[in-house]
Amino acid sequence: MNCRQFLKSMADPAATGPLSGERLTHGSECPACANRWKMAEDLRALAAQERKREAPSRVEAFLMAEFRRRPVPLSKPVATWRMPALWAAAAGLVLMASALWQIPGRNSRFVTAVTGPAVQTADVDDAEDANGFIPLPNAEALEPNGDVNVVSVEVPRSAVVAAGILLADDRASEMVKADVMLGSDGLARAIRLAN
Amino acid sequence: MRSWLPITMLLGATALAAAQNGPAPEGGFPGGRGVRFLGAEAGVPARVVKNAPYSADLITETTQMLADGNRLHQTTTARVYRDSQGRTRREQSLSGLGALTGRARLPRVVFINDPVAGVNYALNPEDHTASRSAWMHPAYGRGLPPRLPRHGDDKVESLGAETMEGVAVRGTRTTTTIPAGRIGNELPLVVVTETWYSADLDTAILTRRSDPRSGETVSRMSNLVRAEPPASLFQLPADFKVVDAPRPGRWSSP
Repeated sequence: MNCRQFLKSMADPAATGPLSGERLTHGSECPACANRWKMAEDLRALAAQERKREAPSRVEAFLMAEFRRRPVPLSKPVATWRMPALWAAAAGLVLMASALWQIPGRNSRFVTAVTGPAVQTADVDDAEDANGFIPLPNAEALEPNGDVNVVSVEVPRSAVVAAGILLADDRASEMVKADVMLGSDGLARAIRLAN
Repeated sequence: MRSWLPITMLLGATALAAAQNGPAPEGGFPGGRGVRFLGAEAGVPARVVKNAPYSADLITETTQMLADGNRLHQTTTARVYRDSQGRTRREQSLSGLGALTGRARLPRVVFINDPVAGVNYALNPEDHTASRSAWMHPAYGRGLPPRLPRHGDDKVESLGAETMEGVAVRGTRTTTTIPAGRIGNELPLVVVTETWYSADLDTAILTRRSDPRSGETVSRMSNLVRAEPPASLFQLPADFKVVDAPRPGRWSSP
């Protein structure tokens, strides 16, 4: 079992309690994964503890009564003749946007969008080299004597996740600075996150 | 009438903003919105080849079939030059960043390696800036564990001789089989690499690599010209503002 498999196995709802089996073997070799397991266990314990706490029923009843007492103010109804006009305007704008998008040269002809889930993922703790670069999953290995260059970009965290690097997705829209190592063919091979 | 005018304007602004960045790719982040190019740094080539000048287009295509039936196809291009003194220039599109930058419009970056002057440049032709780094033996990748380590046995076979792009090349096929169980694989994994190599130019004209994990990558040269490129291509343009890298090879020695 490697780190990735260990992480995947942690998603199993039945994976609770002390480490055992293959997970125990891997955890004994990998302190990072053992720590992750311990952290997950602590969080589960905390969640179980917090589950018992809830607002007193009288508070909930009071809030519900208050919500029912105060009707939500409705906006003035839109005149019926305006609705078709609004829809027509919206449709026109969508068509205009589509036409703009089709204008040749708007995008580099070499740019290809890469979408969909990555086949493999890498944890930021995994396989990081001494310079902080993490090999990108699904990318070829760097050739031992190949030329490399580095470009620095600022991208959304979600893009890093889309490239197969495991990051917490609670701040997906935040931007992150990244150095990307390119192989001699110009393809991205490894990434280093600046923050 | 007054009430729907602001709504129309809002819709218009939204549609135009969407058109600026294109449609959101399915499953990915919206087409490169917010992506910014910050800079580049040229690495030192692994070796210097002298007395074999050429210029060519280098086209690399990758194709990956995903487990869910989806297919990723990516093309990246570069114009490459080498002079008789071993200086090189690479005009690289950044489409090879793939999922990281989506459909963002990034500049074409120029990397110059000059072993004669002992300096490397990464030029950003759009804002006329250049990142300069010292010529030092590359340490990058030395500590980087190979993503696809050699776990198997190689079988090398000759594919004979051919002529590609007007130069004589010799083909070699290397088949690497990773036995079942070596890396958690249930079945043996077979990685095939074909290389068509020009001894005259001391470089590969075509490489084709097929790996079940990373898909197929084909990298080929075209429009190859065996002539001395203009010396100006390997020099820093006069109107470029030079910024020295924070430290030599900042990404090679943290």
